[in-house]
Amino acid sequence: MGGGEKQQPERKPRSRSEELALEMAKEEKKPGGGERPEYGVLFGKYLMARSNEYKAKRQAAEAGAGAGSETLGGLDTKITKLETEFGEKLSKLDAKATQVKEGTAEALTAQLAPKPKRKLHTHESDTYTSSMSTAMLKKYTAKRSKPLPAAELAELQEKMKRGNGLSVEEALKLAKSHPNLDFLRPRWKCSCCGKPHVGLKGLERQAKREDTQDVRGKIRYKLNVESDKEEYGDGKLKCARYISGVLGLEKSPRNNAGLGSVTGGLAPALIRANLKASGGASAGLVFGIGNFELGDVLIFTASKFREGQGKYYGHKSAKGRKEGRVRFNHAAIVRGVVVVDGAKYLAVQEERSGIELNFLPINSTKAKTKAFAKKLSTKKGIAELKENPRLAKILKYRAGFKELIRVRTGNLFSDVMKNPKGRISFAIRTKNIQAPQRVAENSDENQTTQQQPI
Amino acid sequence: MTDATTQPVTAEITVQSLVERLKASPTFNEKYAPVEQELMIRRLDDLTPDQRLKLQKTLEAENQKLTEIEKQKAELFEDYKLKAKLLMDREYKVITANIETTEKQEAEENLQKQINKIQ
Repeated sequence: MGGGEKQQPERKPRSRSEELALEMAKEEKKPGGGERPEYGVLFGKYLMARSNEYKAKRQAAEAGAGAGSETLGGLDTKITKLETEFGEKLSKLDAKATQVKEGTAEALTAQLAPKPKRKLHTHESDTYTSSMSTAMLKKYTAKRSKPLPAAELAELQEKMKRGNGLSVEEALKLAKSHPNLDFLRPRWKCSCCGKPHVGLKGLERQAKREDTQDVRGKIRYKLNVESDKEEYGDGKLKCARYISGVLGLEKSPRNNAGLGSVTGGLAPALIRANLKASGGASAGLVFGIGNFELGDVLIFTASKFREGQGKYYGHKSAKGRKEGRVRFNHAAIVRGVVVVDGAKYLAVQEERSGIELNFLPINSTKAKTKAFAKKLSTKKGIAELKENPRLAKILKYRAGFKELIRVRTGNLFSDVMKNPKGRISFAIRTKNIQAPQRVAENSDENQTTQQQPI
Repeated sequence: MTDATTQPVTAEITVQSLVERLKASPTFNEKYAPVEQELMIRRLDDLTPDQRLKLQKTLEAENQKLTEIEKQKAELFEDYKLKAKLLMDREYKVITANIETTEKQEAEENLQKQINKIQ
């Protein structure tokens, strides 16, 4: 600049507390804040001294009495017992002191530590649901639901496990019988705005509309496909478009527009295809994490709870953008069911901030899940897991992105039937609406462009 | 029109006194890293008189409780010192008494032997 003279920024004068803080930082840290005697050590020393004194006296007495005098043992044992007793009582007092210190630390932190910034509710996080009170949750789950007769329930289970999935009517029967599925029922109203939102009937209506894509016989699985940044790298959520890419649906202006949304595109299109393929008998709906299989498209509900306001179905996004009547806001595809250390996991691939490969426990214990997660985080662990050929194939897909292969257990990744705060609502079966398979086609999963027979 | 005696006590709590109390607090010294301690001391300036009073009370309560625990520890130590002393003294008495008995028995046996020889 013209003058060439650099102006030093004015230094703010230090307050007394700042000066004291700096002085303190220079000083050597004194643990405990002062001299506090170590009673355990002191007592040990005392016992040692007294015991030596006693032994000397005893030796003198024995020497005076001659070599034949009888020795009396047991004192050492008694001393050890006394020392242990003292140690136990002392540690009880130490624990009391620790408790006092912890309480004080909590109070000091609350009063003096800088407050953390409020976390935003984002697509990935689930702060609203986690902050919901237990009472509110109980109120939500204690709905008037009538359990289905065992035989009927078994029939529906069988259809979901081995068949083509349920029709909308059957799914509604199940929804009426399960307290966590009431939001799927028709005429159900959101307590947030008092309006009905898209449920199963709404999806069916959308599926039957003329302008809904007909994807029957067009599905060719490309399980190892990468997301197409050119098509939807616009910063919007692209889970549905990624799933349509995995399903191998042809790109066309109409198709891309239609399947870019879960509620308005992907889910109705898949339901329509299932209805057409089964002559209206099945919509391909599957409930319960244990019933999901390779190729099923998982439909996630939007966040259901909002602190202090009861049910909440994504009226607003994290940035305050209105999302209208979006009920289902995320989709993922089942990559398979794997067994690790005797526990079953659902391998799910989806696009969030990147293409993620998530393992959701189906019947695992906490310890086993933790062990699996630990294995996934180390090279050695991954090498060990790759000994399982099915898992090796899945892991190979995201081999270059170790941080995107995870075991997930939060509300966002749990089944709504098991956890009322869960976000996985249901799945739509796609194995029955695939394109006719070509004979003798190479099914190597590394070839992303080739069909993956299910 | 407020009388000086009715002024809240909180006005007298200075940052200096709080810093000293913090420096003397075992919790503050043990649970926080030097950087955190420095940050916490800096925040003292922003505290309202009520907050200062609250902090002072927290630190006083801590000091009182820990002093009480220290006192109990000292008492326990003295108590067990005495117990150990009594135990060893008792053992010493037992062994010296036993040695005396053995000596007496030996002397009596010797005497008996001598008497037997004479007879």
